[in-house]
Amino acid sequence: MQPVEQSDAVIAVRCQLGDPAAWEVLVVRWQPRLWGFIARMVADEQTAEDVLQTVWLEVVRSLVRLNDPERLAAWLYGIARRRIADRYRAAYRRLPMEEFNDVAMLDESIEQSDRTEWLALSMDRLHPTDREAVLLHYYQELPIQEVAEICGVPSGTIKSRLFRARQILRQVLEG
Amino acid sequence: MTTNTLSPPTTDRVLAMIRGELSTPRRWFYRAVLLAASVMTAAILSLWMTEPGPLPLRLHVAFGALSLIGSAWIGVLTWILWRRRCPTALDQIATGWVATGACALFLVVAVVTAVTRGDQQAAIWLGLIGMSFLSVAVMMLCRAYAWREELRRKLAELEGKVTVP
Repeated sequence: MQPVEQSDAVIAVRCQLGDPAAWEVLVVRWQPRLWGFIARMVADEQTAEDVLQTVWLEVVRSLVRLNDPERLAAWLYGIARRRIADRYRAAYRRLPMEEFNDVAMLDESIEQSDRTEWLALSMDRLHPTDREAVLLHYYQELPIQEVAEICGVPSGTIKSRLFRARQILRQVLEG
Repeated sequence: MTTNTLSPPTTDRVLAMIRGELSTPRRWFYRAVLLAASVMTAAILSLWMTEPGPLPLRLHVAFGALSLIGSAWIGVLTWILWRRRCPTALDQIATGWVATGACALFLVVAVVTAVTRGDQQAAIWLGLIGMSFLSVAVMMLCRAYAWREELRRKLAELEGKVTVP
């Protein structure tokens, strides 16, 4: 008989109770999702791995303070978002503005044949706040209300960020 | 350019880090230091308060500074154990017990020292201080048990949601 897959909330509570097997399930289940979000938001693989590691460290140290385990997804993306924001702040402080813009520029040498890859790469054209809205809503399939909660803005703001992002992506795809 | 085409790193490193965070030796070290700091602070305070003759100013300053350092250690270690190094409900219970033990030790050492030196007034004052510490520690312990019960109830409720069609 197939074992019933435990919900994220159950896993979170088991972790809070101190079940090491639950931590393993949490990591295996959430590593790809967090990576999918972080890797599309930061500049390079090494930075993405560092951010991911920092996020997990914060998760293990502060999971006791998660009051509502059913909000695990929003809580995890919230931590990832804050750590990414830290990196952006550090990058803004470190780099002259024109150099920072270069980081976000599209690499011209990339083959444009694969439409999906092209779309993914076009994400770099988006402003970070628009990009995170697209990633959380379309890639991670979170409802707008939850994305708004994670980003700490009203739902209407997320809707307008998504609208703006869709317009830019459409222009990139058509152009 | 973002790293959008890369596959996620393996979970080995993260799991090793989490196992390290969940491992108990470091926390038990902090707990042992907390116990030692409580005994030391109690001894210093009771010796200071039960000095029979008038002390020179520099000795008052030295006793005061040592008591302050001891209390700071107790405060910082309690914060570390309760807020920073307490990843599970079980750890909160263990920390609650150690805090209760540390406060009980403080109370016993302080009162016994004062009584041995024949200063009843100091014994009463130190007893009151020790009792207030102890009641805070017992409250922490009760909260830790209550939280574990709440988590167990929540887990049963959530698992019920999954199994009941």
